[in-house]
Amino acid sequence: MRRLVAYYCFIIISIMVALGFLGAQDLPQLIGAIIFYPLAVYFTLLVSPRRQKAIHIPKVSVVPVATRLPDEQASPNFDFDRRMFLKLIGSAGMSLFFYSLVTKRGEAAFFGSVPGPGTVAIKDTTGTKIDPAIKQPTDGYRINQLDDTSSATYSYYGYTNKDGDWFIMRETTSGVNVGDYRYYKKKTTDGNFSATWSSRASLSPYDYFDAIF
Amino acid sequence: MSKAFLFLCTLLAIFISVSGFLTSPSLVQFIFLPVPLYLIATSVGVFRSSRAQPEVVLSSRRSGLILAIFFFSFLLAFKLIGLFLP
Repeated sequence: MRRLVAYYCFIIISIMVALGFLGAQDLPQLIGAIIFYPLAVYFTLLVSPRRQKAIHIPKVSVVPVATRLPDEQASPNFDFDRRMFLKLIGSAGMSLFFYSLVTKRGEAAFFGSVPGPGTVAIKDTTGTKIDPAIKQPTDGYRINQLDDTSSATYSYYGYTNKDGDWFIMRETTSGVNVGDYRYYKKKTTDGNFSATWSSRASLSPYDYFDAIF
Repeated sequence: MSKAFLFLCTLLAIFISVSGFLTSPSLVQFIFLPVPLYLIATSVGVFRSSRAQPEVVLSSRRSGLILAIFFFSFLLAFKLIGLFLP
């Protein structure tokens, strides 16, 4: 029973050390793996077989086959500790493989942050999880044209995407509403960007971002 | 030396287990629990009797220790290079 617990500890510590070293992304995680290492050394030395012959081969004289007895053909003096060690090493390797399939960050469970199954999460500076897959309504648009000279009050910024959709952002550069940003998005009745850009000042309505998108 | 190594491993195992339970008290921590329990039981047995020998005697495992140090140096160097020289 005691031997079994020792082998269990060896497997657990080996998995933790392997995951700790392979998965360390920064210095604190590497220090965590280093802390585990003396334990791995201890249990490896504990379960590894001592130097001795795996199979006891007695010196025997050659006996003719016809006179050999059946029970002499196999020697019972095998080193069963070594056999058990090799089996456990194999099972530890398999356990490590399957464990790595189940969880990508197994060591995180031991150091305070339990990861979700297969979830990729990014945290902002306050620690709140944010979804990196959120699509913004202006994703894919690129600046196409800028006009900050034709009007004393407004500057216009034209954006298009690869599908030909476009929107115009209007910035108020003077007057009491300086700093206002309003948007106009292409309607179904509008033409393409280059045709409409010339009439940007007369487009209506320019409105808040949430009202347009 | 072997007793000191056993004592060090026991302290480390206790530290890992206790800090794990304090920071993230979950059922996963019980997977690691046999390790400190085993080491505590071994340490108590060794330190209670002055004539008792530790299970792992370092002086007779010199080649294993050298291999462990070599392997540790390799892992550490590999990881440090990966972290600081991307």
